[in-house]
Amino acid sequence: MDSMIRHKEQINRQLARYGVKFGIYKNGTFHERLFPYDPIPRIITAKEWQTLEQGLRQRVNALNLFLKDIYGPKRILADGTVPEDFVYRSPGYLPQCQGITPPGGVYSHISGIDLVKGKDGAWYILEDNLRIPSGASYPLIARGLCRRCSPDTFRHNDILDNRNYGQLLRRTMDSVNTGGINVVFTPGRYNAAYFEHSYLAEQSGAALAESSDLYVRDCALYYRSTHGDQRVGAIYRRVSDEYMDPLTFEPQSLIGIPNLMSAYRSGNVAVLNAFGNGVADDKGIYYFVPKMIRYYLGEEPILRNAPTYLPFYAEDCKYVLDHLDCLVVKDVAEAGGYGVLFGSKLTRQQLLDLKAAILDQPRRFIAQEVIDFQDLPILEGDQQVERKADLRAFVLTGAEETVVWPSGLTRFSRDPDSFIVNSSQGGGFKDTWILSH
Amino acid sequence: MDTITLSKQNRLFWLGRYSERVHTSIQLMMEFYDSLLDGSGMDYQAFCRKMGIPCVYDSGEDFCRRYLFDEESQYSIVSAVEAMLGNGMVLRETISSQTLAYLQMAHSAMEMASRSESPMVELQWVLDDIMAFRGSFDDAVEEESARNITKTGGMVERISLMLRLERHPERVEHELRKLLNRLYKTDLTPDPAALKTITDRALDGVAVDRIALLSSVECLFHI
Repeated sequence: MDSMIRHKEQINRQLARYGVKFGIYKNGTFHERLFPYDPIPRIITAKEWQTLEQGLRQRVNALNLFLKDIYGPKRILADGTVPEDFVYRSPGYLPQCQGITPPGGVYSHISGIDLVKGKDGAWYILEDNLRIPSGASYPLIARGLCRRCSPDTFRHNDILDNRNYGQLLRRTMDSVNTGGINVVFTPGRYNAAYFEHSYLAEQSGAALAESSDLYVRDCALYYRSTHGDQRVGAIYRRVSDEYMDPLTFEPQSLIGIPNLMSAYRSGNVAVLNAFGNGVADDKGIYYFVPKMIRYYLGEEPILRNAPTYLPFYAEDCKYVLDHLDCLVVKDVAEAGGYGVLFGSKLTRQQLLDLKAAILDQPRRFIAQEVIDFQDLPILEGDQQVERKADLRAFVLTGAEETVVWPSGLTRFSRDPDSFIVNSSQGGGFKDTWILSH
Repeated sequence: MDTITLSKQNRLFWLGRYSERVHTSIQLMMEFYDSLLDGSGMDYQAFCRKMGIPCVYDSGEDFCRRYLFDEESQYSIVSAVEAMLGNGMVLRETISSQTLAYLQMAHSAMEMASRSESPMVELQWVLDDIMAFRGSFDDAVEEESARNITKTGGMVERISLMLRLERHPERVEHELRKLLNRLYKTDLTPDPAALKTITDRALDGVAVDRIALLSSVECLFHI
């Protein structure tokens, strides 16, 4: 480990060399920044990983079954396990997807599940990201560079190799491909995650395409090529649902592909991840995931949710209002670390305003106990300091299998007083080592 | 075989043009910088006139600094470096991360040069990185047509600069012949009139006015 720390500057120089950046918009201007990297990895033992792997696979399988049910027979609503209100009023629910079964029957092909490890040693799921979770490219490229900078570290530690993400992604795309090439669809150069889009296209052997490179004809998707137009069998899109097809969703979208929905509905192209997944990673639905696992799989959840309350239920609402100053409240419509309010940090007036907002729109909020999660060491200059960190695990689901990538993105807060680890809010990242024994 | 869209064809071409523009312009600026050391000065106004860019500089020193590093100016070399990297970034899966890294390094060296008291030392790295990029590009890009589109872009830029700045007129014919050889190895469709002018000059030695030739080179492809 000392070797990794000694080589911190070398590693960061290598990351700069390969342009490992993310973009942010500030005052309407696009800026690209290097993603700060900390050389001290998060280490997960083989035994711990075994449980995590099983739990993550179980959770994603249940979520896929939920999506299949919601856009199909809706048994879980009819049985009252999930209230209809949480589905039909979710902005992620797309009635246009009703009755569509995607190729291979898979909805969430690439799932990013955010977890934290509590001081009690237990892992807690913080949220599920089933639309376009990003971040796999960073630990993927960092591992290769770290091996180059500090070979001894990897010679003397038995760490599972994580450099197969590109192959896993390709296998996932191939398994649902309807006949044609694989494409990674990006909104373009000025997207925050453009580095990732282009890097994953390269690693998976897919073509990187923007809106002007693709078109739909006779309910099939085509890629404009100098060798004639080529049929697309699978599109890994990195554009939100609402911008994907201006003829079905947001009519003013200039970054979408007109009529894509018709190709998808006809079963002529696999869209990764499927349209309408937002209904299953809604912060309100999160509360019900353990119930889904029991409902669809008949199993007890292996991984825990953070203790969560839904003000939608009268009993929970009373508890939330009585304990607001020690809970964390999340606006279900927000993402990226925004709309997260820690009661302990609010003024008396802000607490009163929040209570009023909860009473006015109980469906809009969830409240969670603040998990006292483990800090991880990071290097600040020459000093080792402790900071909050989470883990985004990546679960890939193809037509035949669900695989958990033996790695993940560990993000940390650089602010000692903050629990928010998002890169858009100044956080950094570190590698995640899964030990093989 | 790699799959290339029409929009990528465009980017490959401009990647070639911008990388050549950066390379040639930095070599020129090195000459200018060196001439300033001896107090012989430089005719930066004539340079701007020939290049067709606004002459907004106060002195030779000001020109050297701002023509190289002014991020606000679309005519500066640093803007060309930005455009070179921008075109490379959208071609990652075609040119490979390994090759793109050399453009990233050229970009970083340019940033370092702008902060350095001896920018010529760092600018040498920009040149080295572009040369390494060319080697890596040749090695990494599988499809011959893609390779030749970028090389064609580079040649168009080189000839354009030679004609604009009236440098090395004795080499123009040779460079035009190289361009024609390369052109036939691409899928690009040249403008027939421009192609005829260039062919007449390169292969048949027909005298063509410099400006008319420059116009034909610039109009050769509608990209």
